[in-house]
Amino acid sequence: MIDIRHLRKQYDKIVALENLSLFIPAGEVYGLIGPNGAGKTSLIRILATLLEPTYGEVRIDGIDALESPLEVHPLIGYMSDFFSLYEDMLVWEYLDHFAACYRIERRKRQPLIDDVLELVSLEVRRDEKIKTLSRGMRQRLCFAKTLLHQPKVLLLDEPASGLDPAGRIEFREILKKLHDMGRTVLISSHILTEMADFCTSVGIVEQGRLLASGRVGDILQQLQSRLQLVIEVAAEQPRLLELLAAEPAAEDVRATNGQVTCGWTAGRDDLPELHRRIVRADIPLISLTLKSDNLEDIYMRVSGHRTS
Amino acid sequence: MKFDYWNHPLVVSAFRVRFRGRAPGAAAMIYFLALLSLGGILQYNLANEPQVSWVLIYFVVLISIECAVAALFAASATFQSMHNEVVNRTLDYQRTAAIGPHEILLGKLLGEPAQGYMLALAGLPLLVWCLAMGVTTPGVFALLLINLVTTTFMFGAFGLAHPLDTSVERSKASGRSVRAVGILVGLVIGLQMLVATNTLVQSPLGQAALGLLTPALAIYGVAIGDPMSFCLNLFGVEIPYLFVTPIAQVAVALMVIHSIARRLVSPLNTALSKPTAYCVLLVIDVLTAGLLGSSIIVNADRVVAGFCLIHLLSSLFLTMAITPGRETLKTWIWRFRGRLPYWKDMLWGPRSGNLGALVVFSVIGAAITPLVALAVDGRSMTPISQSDLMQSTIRMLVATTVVLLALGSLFQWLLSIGQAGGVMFIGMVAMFSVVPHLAGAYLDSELLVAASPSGQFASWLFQVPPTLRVEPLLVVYGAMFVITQRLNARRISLGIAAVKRKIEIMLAEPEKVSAPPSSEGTA
Repeated sequence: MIDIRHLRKQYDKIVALENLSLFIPAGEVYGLIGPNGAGKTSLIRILATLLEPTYGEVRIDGIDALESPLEVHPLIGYMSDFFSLYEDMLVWEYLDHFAACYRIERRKRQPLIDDVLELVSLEVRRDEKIKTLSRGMRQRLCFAKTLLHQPKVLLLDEPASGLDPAGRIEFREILKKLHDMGRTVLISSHILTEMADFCTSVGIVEQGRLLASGRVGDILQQLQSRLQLVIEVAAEQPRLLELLAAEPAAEDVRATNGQVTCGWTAGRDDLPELHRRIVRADIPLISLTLKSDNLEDIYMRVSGHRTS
Repeated sequence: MKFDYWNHPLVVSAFRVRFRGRAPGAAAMIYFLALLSLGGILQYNLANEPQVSWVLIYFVVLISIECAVAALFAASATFQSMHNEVVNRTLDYQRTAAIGPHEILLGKLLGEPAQGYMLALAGLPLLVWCLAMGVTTPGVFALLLINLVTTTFMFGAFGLAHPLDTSVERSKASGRSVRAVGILVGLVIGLQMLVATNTLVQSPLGQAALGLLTPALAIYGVAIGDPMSFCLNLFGVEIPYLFVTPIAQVAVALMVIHSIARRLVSPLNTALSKPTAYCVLLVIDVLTAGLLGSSIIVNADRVVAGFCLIHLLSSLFLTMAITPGRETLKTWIWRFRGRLPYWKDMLWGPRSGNLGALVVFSVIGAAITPLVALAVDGRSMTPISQSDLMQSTIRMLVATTVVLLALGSLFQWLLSIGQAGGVMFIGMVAMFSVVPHLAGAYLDSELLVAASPSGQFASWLFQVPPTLRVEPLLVVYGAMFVITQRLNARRISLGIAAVKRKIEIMLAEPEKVSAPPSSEGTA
């Protein structure tokens, strides 16, 4: 659905995107993770045809976005990280304005507006002026605008940054619905926990380069070099530390808050043997847990937290 | 492009927002009453004057006020609207919608100045009353109304010319600088035009500048009792400004809209494409030639000098519209280069350097200047031999061409190193041109004066016969052209070499990453 090849964007002396290639299939909810200034917004604005790359190819649903931007517009729904609203309009007028801009027939507009307002839980604010809305509501109104013309591809730049926890849960539900409807979503954020919840795939961008990309689970598996063990015992913690110190597969053994953590360089199959050895040593074992790195850990490991 | 005025989203939204909670008729009613009172005052003071018709004066004042108010409202409303859209970034949403850039601009032009249109409509009954009183014929009245509409349209289009920089601070700063330049130009040129109205109206070029861009001459004609008295004399054919002004204004407005639409498609596009710029220069040159060739010729040399000056200024203006900036030139090096053979690319390819266009501008000048000389030959009131006229024509043509090439090439270099914008360039050209002239006059150095274009043009236009040698100008500007051209060529060739290497490396890198082909995720 979205095919990007060798993309480069250079602003004067700053290279915002460097040889970035990416293919996002239809129906994917793809998250772009990266620090501020990593090039996420530049990439999304290029896909929205608002910005021209210095070099590279961009195809959306097979259409060359650089050569035929007007053909791409009906396919995409773009939401910026900035509240782009007309303060003096009413909520429904704003949506009606953009529905007309997307050439939706007049008789179809009102039911459509009601539908999207219901989807973003703004139906009670339908007839109010935009300037009276809170930050979160404005965000949701912008999102409603993006959904109006039922675009195949949604390009969302930091869409959840202004939302409260309840709003984020709602937003996640909407994304789930869109995913079920087969829409392709490209969403950028630097809030990693929410990306793991929203997205089917993620890409880590830094200094304009894509450091890693793929299904969330695959990336975790691919980038996870070792397992983490968390062992909780009722007593005899010093003996457990001694036992682990003698174990060649255990690394970085640490005791914290009644728990012992360590890295495990051997495989999962070797864990029952470790379990047996702890029990045989008469150490009162409460739990032995295998902990996986989460997206945040992976991101911190992969990235050097540099901006472009 | 399908245009439906009443359902155009921008028009509808402009009306919704502008007139919410307000009585749209109130301002129009106050305006109508003010105009009516003006009529009362005129009638009270002038009704008993047998030699003047107060109704005619009232009509002229009314139509002048209507034009001024509608134009002012249109320009300020469209400028403010574009400014808000850029600063609030709502323009981004318009740009990604399914309506094209021309439609966005026309919508803004027709919707935003709604208040101005209402005021103009409010004054209409009074104008019709004047018509009924026999101040003019229905035909002239209809043409004046067309002039009113096209004046509003053109000034509205000028208001759309707002920088599209989305950075709020920079956009505000750009907005301020555009306004400052607008006010400065308006004050300087407007005041000078007011002061020199009589001279302007006497000279064919001044008359054309005033008559083609404003309805002033048409209205003045009505005031003196002959609306057709001011005519554009083109190749001996006299066309009243009443007819020509609307055509010229619509053409200018469409050119402005076209150039902004190009920027809306991509802010990296130059304001005009090269082929469009060639056509515009050709039209300006032919019109200037037709205008100068048809007027009473006191001195043939001066006519050719006047043509060269107009050609040079128009070419420089168009050079600013077609010269790619630093980032645009980079996209040419990276993406656009090589799509056309080199010279074709230079001549009409998008985003290439301006050398090819400068050459074409010079060729257009070289083709038309001798025709102007031939047209005025033998019609001069001051006798001049054909060989002398041809010699001075060649001298002026060569000097104009060298100055054009040098300044155009300098502009390209300044843009490509990111050190100048259009306003700064105008300042630099003025400085290059005027400072040596003034310094030469102050120090009594003929060499310095001769090295400045303004010194040369002053000599050609006002000295009979011109006494300045042209060689110093050719040496200075020729050297400037050679140096800046070498710098441009070096910069581009270095850029191309670096980009070629970079692309080779990029294409050699494996495409490392892509999302998985199926989707059964967690969302």
